[in-house]
Amino acid sequence: MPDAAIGLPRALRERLLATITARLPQKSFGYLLSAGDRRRPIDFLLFDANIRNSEGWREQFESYGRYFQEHDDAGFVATAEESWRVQRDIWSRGLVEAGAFHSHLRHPANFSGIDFDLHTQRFPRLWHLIVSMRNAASPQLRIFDICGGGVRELPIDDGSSCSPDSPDSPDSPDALDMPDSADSDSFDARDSSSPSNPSNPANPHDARRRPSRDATIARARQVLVLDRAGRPACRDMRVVAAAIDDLYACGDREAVHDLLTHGFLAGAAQRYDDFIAGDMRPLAGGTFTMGTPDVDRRHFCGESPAHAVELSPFRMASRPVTNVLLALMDDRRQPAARSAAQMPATDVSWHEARVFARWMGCRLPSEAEWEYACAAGSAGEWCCDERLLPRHAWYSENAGGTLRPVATREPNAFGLYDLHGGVWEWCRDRYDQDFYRRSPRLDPVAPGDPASHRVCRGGSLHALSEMCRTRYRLHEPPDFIAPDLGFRLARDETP
Amino acid sequence: MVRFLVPGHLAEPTFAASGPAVPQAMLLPDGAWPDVVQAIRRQCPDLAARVLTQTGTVAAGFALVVNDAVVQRNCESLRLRPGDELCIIATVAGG
Repeated sequence: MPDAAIGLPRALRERLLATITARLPQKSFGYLLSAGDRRRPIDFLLFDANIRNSEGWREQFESYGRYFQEHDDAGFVATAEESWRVQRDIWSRGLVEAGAFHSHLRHPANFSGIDFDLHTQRFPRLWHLIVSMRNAASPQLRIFDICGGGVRELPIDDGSSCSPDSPDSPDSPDALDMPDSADSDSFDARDSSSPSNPSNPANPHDARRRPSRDATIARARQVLVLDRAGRPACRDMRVVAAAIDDLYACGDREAVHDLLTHGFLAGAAQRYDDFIAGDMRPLAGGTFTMGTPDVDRRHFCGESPAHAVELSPFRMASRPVTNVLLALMDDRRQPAARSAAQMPATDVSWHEARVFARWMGCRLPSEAEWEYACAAGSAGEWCCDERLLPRHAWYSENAGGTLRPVATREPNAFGLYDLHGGVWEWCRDRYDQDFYRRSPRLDPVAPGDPASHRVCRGGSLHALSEMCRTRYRLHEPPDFIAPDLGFRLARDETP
Repeated sequence: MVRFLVPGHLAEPTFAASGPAVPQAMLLPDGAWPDVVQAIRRQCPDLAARVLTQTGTVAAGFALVVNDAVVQRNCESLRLRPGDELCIIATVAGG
């Protein structure tokens, strides 16, 4: 059964975000209020005082790990007195608590173990909205509901025809069914997940009508231009990605050949050989167990059920894409300081990541490939025992809130670095919290139009160990960027 | 008797649209706190299991309010008189 959406009217959402933004860097928390129907909040109420650092509470928060020791702004507790004042205020207005909410300053809008513990103890019947301000220019909202012993993310309905924060955007139909050749491939090799399909009536994210074939080709001719240095002249990677998607979707193989293979992507094979090939690790694939068994799902969303996945052989970069590598395509990415050259590239949108991947003769890894590569044969929560995680990852327990150069921790058993911690990594798949219940066994990729939220994996320098878990799933909109969000390259194994 | 107010965040869900939201209230016998605890356990066992400890104190994360004042001291010695108004509320907390 589809989840009941929470109606969060645009005006209420904007007022809430304006309030949270004005209070930065202070954490915001409070209630969303309704007139009776808890799926339809009409107002919110904020708490002022936070006694998280008071005697008794500080110790409890710090027991959750180093992140809570280093950041005394992480966590919140309302005073009893203010809680009562707020309660009287709610009653006096004839409203009722529909949900609780709080903001994150550095973390994505995920529902962590401490949220689960403290929320379920108090509010087993309220939903919980988390607002991530890790990119304050692009706040992200997610709503979680505790039900049946687990946690589910609920879609948000802002009153428009589609919800930008929906965790379950609709599928777009399969892309081209064309022979496998360089000229006829879809955007991402071995991928049928991402044509923009603008005329798809089931795709409310894209209201454009499908342009004519001529118009599509003319647009591609205009956008897919290289500058004198052979870099994309158009710097808006969403526009570039859409032009490529549309070109594939229009089915004109000659245009694909001319404008892509021998145009925009000319030199990709050489770039791959020169800059990427040496860093790629061949992975055998085969059958592995993806996801988390129901019995172990705790507060983790979308990880269940555990299911068998069969992967074809592929190659995966041993490390995330660095600043110096990304600068090959965009010279504005050239690191000013030498020390930044080997830092993972961040503030990269999914669109830019996939265009770069293709421009380098690669693609983004699928979520299944990513999980298989991260586990490296381990059935545990990480590629190693949790006590050894600091050897393999830069995360909240050892990064000190600082981004670190790639490959400066130990690799996993597959010779891959930084899959835990460092930066979150974009995957190719659309995020679908129920995908594991129906995903194909062989080389699964969740299909979706380019406006759909995309999967991010692995945790980051700020992440708690639970967020760095091999099977932990996160999602962001494809144009989202953040200072701890990057990507790595993958590629089909050449026969 | 004392009046026991149940805030919305502890009340049964009202997901279906309903009339104006008003605090749920019930009458409990007045008297010593252990007697009131017993009455809460009897009348709303699910709520009691969440907001009261086994020894009858208010659980961590909740606050007891009597006659519009938060009870700071130990509640075991509390004695509720006829007409008193009592409420237990959660104190919002998270990560």
